Amino acid sequence: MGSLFRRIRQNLGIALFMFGLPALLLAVMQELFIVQILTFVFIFAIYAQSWNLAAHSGQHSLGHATFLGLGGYASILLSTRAGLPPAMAMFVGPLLPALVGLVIGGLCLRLREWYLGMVTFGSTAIVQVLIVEQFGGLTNRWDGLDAPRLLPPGLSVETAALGNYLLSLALMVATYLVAAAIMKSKVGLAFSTIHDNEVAAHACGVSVKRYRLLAMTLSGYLAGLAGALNGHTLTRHISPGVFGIEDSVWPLLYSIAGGLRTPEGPILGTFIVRVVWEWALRRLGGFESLIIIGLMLALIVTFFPRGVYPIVARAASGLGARVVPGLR
Amino acid sequence: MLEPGVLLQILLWGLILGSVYMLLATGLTLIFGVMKVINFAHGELMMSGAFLTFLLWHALGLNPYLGIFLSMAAVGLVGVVIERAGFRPLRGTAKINEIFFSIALILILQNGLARIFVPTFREYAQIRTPYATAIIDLGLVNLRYDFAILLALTWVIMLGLYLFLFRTGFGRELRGTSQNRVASMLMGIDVRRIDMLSFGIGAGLAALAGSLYGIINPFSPYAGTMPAIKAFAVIILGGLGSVRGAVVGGLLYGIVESFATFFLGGSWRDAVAFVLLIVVLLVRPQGIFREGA
Repeated sequence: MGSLFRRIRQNLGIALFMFGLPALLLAVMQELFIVQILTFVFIFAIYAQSWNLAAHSGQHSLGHATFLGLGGYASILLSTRAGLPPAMAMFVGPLLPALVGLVIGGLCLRLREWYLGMVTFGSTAIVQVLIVEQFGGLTNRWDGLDAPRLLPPGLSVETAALGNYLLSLALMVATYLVAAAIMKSKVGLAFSTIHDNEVAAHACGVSVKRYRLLAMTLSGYLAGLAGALNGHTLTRHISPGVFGIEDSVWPLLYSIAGGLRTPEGPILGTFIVRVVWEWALRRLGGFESLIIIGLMLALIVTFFPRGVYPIVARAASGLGARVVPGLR
Repeated sequence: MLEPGVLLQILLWGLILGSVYMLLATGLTLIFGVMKVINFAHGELMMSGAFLTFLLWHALGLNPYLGIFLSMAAVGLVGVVIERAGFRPLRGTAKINEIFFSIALILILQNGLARIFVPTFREYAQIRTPYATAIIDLGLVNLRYDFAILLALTWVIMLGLYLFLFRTGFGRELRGTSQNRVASMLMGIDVRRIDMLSFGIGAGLAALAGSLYGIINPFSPYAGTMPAIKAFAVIILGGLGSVRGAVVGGLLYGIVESFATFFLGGSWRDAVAFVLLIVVLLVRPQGIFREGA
């Protein structure tokens, strides 16, 4: 734990930016829709964090929507069919995507890059069919399920929104701490070695198999948590549409924009991309906003492959924070 | 038991579908062979082709079978530009950047198309040829006139590609680059020109696949993603970089899918591809045909 606190102290500027800014916005905002956008940012920052964690171990998934969707379904079913309170189902449900992550990770053990991308991508389509066809009775097929509220009913709209906002913020911070602790630890070092060179990792005595599975399982759990949270708070509904391409692309986009393989990156990226997207959506329209996101991704990949993290880190160190450089 | 006529009809449909996959896969495998890049946005290039052919027919009244050639040339040019401006600067950086870039391309192309398409044509459009209702009676099955033309067109173009690859200097340079980039460079081949060429050809073939798709199916700007993903499955199945593998794999896959749809039901159609893909990756990761264009 000591090293974790050191990392946080060293990244004080960024931590301030990440947690201070939303808190500040919370203090000044009057509009409900800003609360909701920020809630969205927090939830999807958890999702992006989960993707980033898998990517840290060299497993760049192109099908993370599998875990997001399964987490949502499992949690909703647990709360409606098994009578678990949503607050508990939210944490139990993601065990299913964690298990699926273990299975997919196991299938992909020998694969990397394009191959891994293809299999993870394909798994989303397979899971979608299974959800609709095999478990249609449970999942109400294409119509999907309504999710019970996370907070007790009877609250005013504003109070409920604020409650969801604070809960999501707390979970995002918790996820951040977990991810930062992992990346800082020996496990994180193993992930990172596997990412850079699997053979060398093997030669150094790193159990590639075990660590890759661990990364996928953990990533599956966190993505599922984001899915459950999203279902119980923002969308209040889930349908097989969640297993689409878009929901698999978002976390990767957020993480790249923010800074790959840093625990701060996904949070920064989700915030920035979401703000740009909301702005473009209001100013220009739906298609144009996605074109802009695409251009943004292309430009970032070409000119700033490390995302905005180095820029923010430099600004933060200008403000007096000691910053650890992010990984390549 | 099923009548042989029904089985033949399914087979025929699979053959047409397989042609779409074959064209996509051939383009992808050419690009992969030369550049070692998998273009995830291939489905979007495909739909650009479909849309262009559709527009030429809808707005100018051009016969779709002529429009296809214009559309192939135009999308081929787009492919050249994408290679030159997009993928070339990323060469030599982490492989993952190319995946990310092609995902950015998906967003740009798909929404660019939808921006023009959706306000005017709503959800779906279909290219209607002058022969849409004509049918050839083959006894056991009825062959749509369009299907016959499309199959012939596809094979003429594939033959042209074969002659290009194996009978011309450019084709030899392309195959050489695919086999060994550095050695080709040392032999004085301008490999960067070959990159642009292969991407151009790949995009052109995608445009043909798209137009074909648009004639036999209603299409939308979003319809290209699934066929493209299946084409990736096909080239992994057939062996990355192998044109022979792409042709055999594409046709075979079309037929398998056609039968799977008939016997298992429509919602299994897409999942079959990935089950197949995962099995192949686990059992024979190098594909059915190994290496070399």
